[in-house]
Amino acid sequence: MYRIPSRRTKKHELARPNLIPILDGVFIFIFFLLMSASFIKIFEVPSDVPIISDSPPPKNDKPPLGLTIRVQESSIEVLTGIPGKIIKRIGKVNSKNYDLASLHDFLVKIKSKNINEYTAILEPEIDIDYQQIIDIMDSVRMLKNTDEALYRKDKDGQEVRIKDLFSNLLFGNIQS
Amino acid sequence: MRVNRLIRFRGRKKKLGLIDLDITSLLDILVIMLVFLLKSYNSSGVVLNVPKGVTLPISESQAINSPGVIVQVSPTTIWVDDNVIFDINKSRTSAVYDQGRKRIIPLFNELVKKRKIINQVQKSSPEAKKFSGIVNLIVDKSIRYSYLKKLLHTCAEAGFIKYKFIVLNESSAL
Repeated sequence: MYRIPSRRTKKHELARPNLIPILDGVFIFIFFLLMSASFIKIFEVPSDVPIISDSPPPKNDKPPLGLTIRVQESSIEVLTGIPGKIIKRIGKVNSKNYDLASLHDFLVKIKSKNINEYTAILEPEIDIDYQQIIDIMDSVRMLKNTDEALYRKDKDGQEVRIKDLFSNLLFGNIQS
Repeated sequence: MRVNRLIRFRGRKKKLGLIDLDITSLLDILVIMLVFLLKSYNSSGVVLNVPKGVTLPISESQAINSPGVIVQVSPTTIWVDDNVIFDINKSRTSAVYDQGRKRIIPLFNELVKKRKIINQVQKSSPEAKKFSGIVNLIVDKSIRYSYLKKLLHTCAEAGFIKYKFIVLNESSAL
């Protein structure tokens, strides 16, 4: 027979976990992270000093690419080979800014034919500002997600996607 | 009420039960804070101080910073590891450059000193890190290439052959 439940029945309380040690740990962790946090994202753009060697170049069947980016007053010249020959001239989009998108697209085409080449020489011949140099370096160094996917074979013969364009960027005229 | 006033209950306080604090909201905040701090965690361990008067250039680079000597350059001042070594307002310009105005003497002297210290430490302690030749260049974005060339040339002359141009990520600049 159905009965009304008694009010005396003992209520089962939910067992609560002891959170104090977890909270202690979290607080210590927060202090550690606060100390080592950097709220401004600062990165680096690497470049090496060009080293001139007297020793003869290694014998290769394929001639070196010798990619050089020469920044002129009105345009950016792309040169290849030794001595360098101008293969492309890229103008400006306005009075101040160069057409870096076209430069980047052209360099992606060069990269697709020279998959194992990573070195490029940058030669600004005019007195541009540092921000413009970094912009040019970015367009020469990095492959974007929207670029054509390029692959090269690794030691095991597996195809690996290339992430950099010409990442080994050298300043060719710092001694002049 | 009457019972409490009785003499035999005087001095006996009613025991208070433990207050049951609800810490759910506090935990929520802590978790959000943890995620935020983990996202802004600097895994490189390199602390770079950008001095007043220096605005970093913006770049798409994602390369993590490397430890090395830090050269900070504003249009008027040069610092090496946060110490002023050249101030255009205090120094005589004629005594600043040599090698056909290609080398900055105070910067060269300071970098050579730094290199010597690193080499001495390396000799005295076998576990000390070798001289890497890395120089972190914190340069104001308005600096012209003619001046940047002098800086690069001076660093190379002092034996620092790996330049790391310090830049600000695009997302931080917004």
